[in-house]
Amino acid sequence: MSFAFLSSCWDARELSEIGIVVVTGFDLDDDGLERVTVLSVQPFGRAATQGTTPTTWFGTASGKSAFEAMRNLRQTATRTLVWMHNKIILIGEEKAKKGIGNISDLLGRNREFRYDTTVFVTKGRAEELMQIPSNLEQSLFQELLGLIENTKLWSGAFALEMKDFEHNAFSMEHGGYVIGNMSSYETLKLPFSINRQEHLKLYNKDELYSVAYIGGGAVIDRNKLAGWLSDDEIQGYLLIGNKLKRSIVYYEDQNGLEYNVTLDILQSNTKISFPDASVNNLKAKISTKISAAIAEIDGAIEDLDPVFIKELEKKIKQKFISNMALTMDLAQNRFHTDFVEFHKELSAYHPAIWKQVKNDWRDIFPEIDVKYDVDLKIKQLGLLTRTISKLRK
Amino acid sequence: MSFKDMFFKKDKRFEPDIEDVPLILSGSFEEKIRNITNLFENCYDFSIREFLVEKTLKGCVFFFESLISYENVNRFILKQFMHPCHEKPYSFRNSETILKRFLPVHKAKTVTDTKDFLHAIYSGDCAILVENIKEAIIVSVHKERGRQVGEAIAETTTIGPQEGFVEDISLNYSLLRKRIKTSKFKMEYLQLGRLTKNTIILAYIEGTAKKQLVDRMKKKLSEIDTDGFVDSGHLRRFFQENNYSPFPQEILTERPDRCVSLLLEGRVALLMDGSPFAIIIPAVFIDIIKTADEAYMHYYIAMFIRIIRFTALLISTLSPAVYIALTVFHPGMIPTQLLITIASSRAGIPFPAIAEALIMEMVFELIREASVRIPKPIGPSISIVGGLVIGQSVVEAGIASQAMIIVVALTSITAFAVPGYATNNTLRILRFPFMIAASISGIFGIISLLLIILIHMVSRRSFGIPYLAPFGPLNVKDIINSFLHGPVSAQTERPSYLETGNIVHTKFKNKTSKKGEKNN
Repeated sequence: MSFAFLSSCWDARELSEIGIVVVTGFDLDDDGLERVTVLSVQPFGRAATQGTTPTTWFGTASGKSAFEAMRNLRQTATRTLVWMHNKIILIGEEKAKKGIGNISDLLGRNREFRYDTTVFVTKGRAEELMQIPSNLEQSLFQELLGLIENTKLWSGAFALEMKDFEHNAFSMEHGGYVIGNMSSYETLKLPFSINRQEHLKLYNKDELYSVAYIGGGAVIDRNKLAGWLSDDEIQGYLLIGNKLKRSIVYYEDQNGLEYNVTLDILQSNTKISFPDASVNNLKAKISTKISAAIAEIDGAIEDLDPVFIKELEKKIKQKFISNMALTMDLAQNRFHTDFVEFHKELSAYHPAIWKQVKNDWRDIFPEIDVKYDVDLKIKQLGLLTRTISKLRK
Repeated sequence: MSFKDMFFKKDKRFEPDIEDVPLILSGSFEEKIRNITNLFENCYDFSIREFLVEKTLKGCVFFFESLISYENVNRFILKQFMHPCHEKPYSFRNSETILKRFLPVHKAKTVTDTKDFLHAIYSGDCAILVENIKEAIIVSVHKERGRQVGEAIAETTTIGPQEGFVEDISLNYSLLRKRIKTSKFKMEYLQLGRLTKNTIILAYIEGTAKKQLVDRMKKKLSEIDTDGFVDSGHLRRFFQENNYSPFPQEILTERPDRCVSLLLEGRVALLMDGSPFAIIIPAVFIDIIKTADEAYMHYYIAMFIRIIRFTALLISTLSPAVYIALTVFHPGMIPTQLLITIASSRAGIPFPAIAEALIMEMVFELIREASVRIPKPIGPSISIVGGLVIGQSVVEAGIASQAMIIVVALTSITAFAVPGYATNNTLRILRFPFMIAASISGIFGIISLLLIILIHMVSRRSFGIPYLAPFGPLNVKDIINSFLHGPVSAQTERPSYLETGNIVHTKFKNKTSKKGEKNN
């Protein structure tokens, strides 16, 4: 009873006083200060007039640390910002090169950030990406959320959730990890469709339009940006790391019959193991089970009989192996960092060995032999039982 | 002078007044008539009819015109006494002879006591005084005036009998008696109220209803000493234990079929003349969600409906409070898109959420109260005023948000999904403390208040039965049968918390059958 009178309206914040931050960007200024940029949704005015007025606020501030910059936002923020609905975190390229350790710490320590926030690295400055006007939606963040949804269906892109981000940050000593890349490109084409009259008004302006996209990834080693992975290279990484959801593979047969096949990968399951492991003899074996469907075939093929399918499977297996080998090459030879997470497997399943090789892991990793074992099954052939060329006859 | 004496003065002047009447039935015939006439001076509807028996003997009938049926008085009393063709003179020395040989009426007796005499007159009986006979003869000639048995107004159902109780108690207990045909169905008579002298009937099935319950009720009722009551709702205040609780511990019902099914369960019913509502005791918390017609439907539907009603109970009590708590204290708990929508609708509203909620709730309560008393011709216009004008305009003007209107409307509608007018009132009151608790400390406040209410309910007993039975002392079988309507094969026993005489009320034939033999 007394609590009711003494506490008054403790912790009460009216909805009309808060600004809901949805996108946060971290950058590094030229003078070495940290810069934080936010997009926050702040509905204002009367409900009846909400129609076309913009309601997302863009704010930016700098400070000696990221948290100080977040607080300095209050200088120009018209509402109390809350980060509990933050969905996207962008890290600018310069900042990533300098080091993102403080960001991992801030995100993990702060109570307001949720674990399903997605983290991205941007080519360029995060601030500039967040200034892109949205094409069709009310504001940019809805379009960015849509982009993230699509990463589930395309293997050229990868969205890292904050919980994995935090998890990886803690094991930075031994290996790196990959964060997805969200950037923008410029194009002369209008990113939306309008009628001729409107188009004539805009056409003469001859300006470049920025379009946001997600593709490829950034390799982070020791909390610093080590390099970029392209769309193709990231597929191998996802495959090895058992993160591949849906993907395609294109195979062109040059010997003899000329045909090309595009497979749609439905499911994949990868296990990394170290058979006969001992301190001196570390061999890795990557076993993958993939089930796929034929999406497109072109060329002179006799018949899609089981024999042919088996042949196809054997040939396309090689393609996967070469993809994975490419990624391993990148990890071992170009970046010299274990971003394929071998160390996690080793520490989990062979703790005794891990204890001994732990300190020299960076030297041992590039020397590891990797064997690949791919089990590809083409399960579905689609609606056609023969190829078009055969059907024509 | 203690604190209590300062603020709560005990009125020591309370004395029950007894009707100060002279002994009526004493003295000569003329004296008797004079006494009665003086007593009922200025009572316009009191009639005195003098007549002559056998040309010499004087007689007199007394009755309240408004309560009797003229035909019965004329044909069976006056005619009998005044008809000239008697074969031989009857001897009028003895009231016994008059009763046994002379009055062909279904209910007649003699009284000597003033109190009984007056009681009979008030009940609509006819009193006959004959010269030279000491006692008065009372003949029952009362006529049922008032509503005939019709539809139950406050409790409507889609299927099942549509009869409802009326104000006249003899019609009411006839509705019960024709449904329960056993000599074990007892109806005990009590008279309460000094000025109103209501007839109270305590109905129960002997052997099924708990004996201590019946005795306790009788004792409680006999201790009531007041001027009178008009309705059973008024009566129940007198035997309610723990008057501070907002939850009812009895069921008020207007339907005889529901009354009968509750009596069969082992409860006790109280009928009062002048009231179409029967009081059923004891009642526990889960009786809020039960109605009469669930037993008449398939049990899936009954179960579903009960769950819906219980959910409606929770929604109508908690939803404005939860809305306030989530939007003001815990915006992180709401999904982002929904939060943006609610924030857009709340943008520009000059009141904080709590004030807005309280204002809108008060407005809806006022509309509801007004619509109860509105004369029929203007009834529809109130719904237009309430719905369109207030709802629409308030939002357009920017005084309240659309989300708030939705919450308040939802609350009002779900409040009606909970059956029983008595309980409805409880919920309407409880909504406001929850809103205030939410505005103080969000969900923490709601849970604290919920806990306090729960503690109160758990420790409460309704005539000896724990109020949260069958959840209190947990009894899974009762939960399935009483709370959720179980399948017929499971409903073979009465609720165990009523502690009835015989538990099993239905027996099913043995279900085991040989393979190939389907039960027909």
